[in-house]
Amino acid sequence: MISIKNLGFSYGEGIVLKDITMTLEEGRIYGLLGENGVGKTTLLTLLSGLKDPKAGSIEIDGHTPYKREPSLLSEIYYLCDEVAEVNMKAIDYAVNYGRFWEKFNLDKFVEIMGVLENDINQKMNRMSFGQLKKTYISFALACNTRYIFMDEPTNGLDIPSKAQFRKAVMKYTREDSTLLISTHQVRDLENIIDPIIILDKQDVLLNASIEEISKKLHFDYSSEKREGALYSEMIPGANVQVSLNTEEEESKVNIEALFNTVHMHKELIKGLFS
Amino acid sequence: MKTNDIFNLNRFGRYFVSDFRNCTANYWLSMLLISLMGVVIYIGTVLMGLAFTGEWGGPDKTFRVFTFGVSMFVLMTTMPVKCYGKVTEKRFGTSWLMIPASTFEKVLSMVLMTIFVAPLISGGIYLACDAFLCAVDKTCGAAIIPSLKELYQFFISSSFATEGDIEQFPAIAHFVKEISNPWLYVDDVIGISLWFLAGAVVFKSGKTAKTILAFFAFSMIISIAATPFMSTYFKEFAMRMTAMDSAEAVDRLFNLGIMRHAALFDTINDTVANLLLLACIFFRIKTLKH
Repeated sequence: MISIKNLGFSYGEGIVLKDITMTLEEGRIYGLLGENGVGKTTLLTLLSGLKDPKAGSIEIDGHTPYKREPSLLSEIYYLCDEVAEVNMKAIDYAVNYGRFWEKFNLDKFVEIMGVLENDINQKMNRMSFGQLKKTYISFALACNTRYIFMDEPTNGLDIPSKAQFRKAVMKYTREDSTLLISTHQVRDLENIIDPIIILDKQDVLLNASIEEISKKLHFDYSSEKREGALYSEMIPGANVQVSLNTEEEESKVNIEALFNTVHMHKELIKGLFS
Repeated sequence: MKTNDIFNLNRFGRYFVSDFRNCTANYWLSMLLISLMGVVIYIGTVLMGLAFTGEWGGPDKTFRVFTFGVSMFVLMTTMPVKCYGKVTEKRFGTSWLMIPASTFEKVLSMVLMTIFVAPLISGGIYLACDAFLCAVDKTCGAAIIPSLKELYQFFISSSFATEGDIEQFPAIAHFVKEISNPWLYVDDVIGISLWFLAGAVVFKSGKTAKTILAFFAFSMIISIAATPFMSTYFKEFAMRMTAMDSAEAVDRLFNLGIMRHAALFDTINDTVANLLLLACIFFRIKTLKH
């Protein structure tokens, strides 16, 4: 379990995260959303131990990530948004580095590479950005770690690859693994992320499961204008309107509309989900 | 922190092999070029000789010893940047830091690779090629390998004291002995490698140039700091140099122990500097952030 308490981080004078407290439970695929510069990548790097918190603490299964202890590192995989073009074949990379993660499965790596239509014998420094990203995604899932942090994993992937990515995440992620995926492309991950965390400047606006969200907010896709809608937007063929779910109606959560609603009514949403 | 999280022999072995593979993938071409520099120079010299004088002749041993030294210096200054310089780049550094091995294991591996493995492999190939060329071409004289002892003595004695000198002034033999401790030179060689390794992991850009500047700055500080200790000896040495009119005077001059003390100071200075460099590399990696 990941426990974040009163976490604070700043780059010089610029405060990015302030007094963030949350818990990430096992077996969930968290979607981390937020505008540019609110600290999504910073939060992922703090969780991965690549940065030292300026205030507060992070605990992952009793370990402090910044100590970078091998026993914790072997349970974490962090997929950075900028991936390295290593001068090795993908399969050699997997053999060379996979051995450090105790539960790494080479067959699984080869299988996922197949699902993502990537060549295991291609040199990584000759791959396109998308191919390279798919290689690292395959590696991340084949490591079988308890915690996987992904920063914009669908950036650079073509349309079929995004679907393959969703399929691979659903099929190859360990049941007890916790995934935290930061993204701007909410539609790419719409059906796989649950719960959803929305970060704002120095604050967490929302940390709730899809079930909780649909209990408290109603997403109406009809063309009829609803009174008291918190947010409304034209989408192809209809409108999407978000309003408080006072009548306990069931509806499908539209993450993009949710994101915009949260940003337009920050205090209301915070109060609603606190 | 548990002991297993600091050092585990199995994990270190795996990491070392992986580090070696990674380094080979990044640096093999440059390393091969450096290792074959003797062959390249040999072929170049023979071709130049044939073109300009019409005679067959490779480079002489002194020149080959010199080029061997230069090649090893180039290796020591370029290898750390090429193999480990990328740890400061976000793209490479992030995945490197996330490899489940301890900071101590990662640092130990890079230090061993820099000061032993790369020089031994490259130097070995260089010397083997040189021996092969000398076995094939008898005009080259002796190979460098059997002359390593001679090479060592060349540096510590024959450049400034011939057998005749030693016979005439026995104190010179004493003087030579005082500075014949191999560690005096080995720690310098290790120091060069460590300086460039530290530069590779500390500086984000201009790694080689900044390392050279830092080295000069450090040397200047050490020289200034050492001046009060060494000036007494140097004054005495300079005074006696002016009155060096007999073998006894020379004997008295060298019996001052100035070289022994200078050698001791140099050893302490190099050892402390190398330990500081190791600490600097370790803490840089320990606190590296991306």
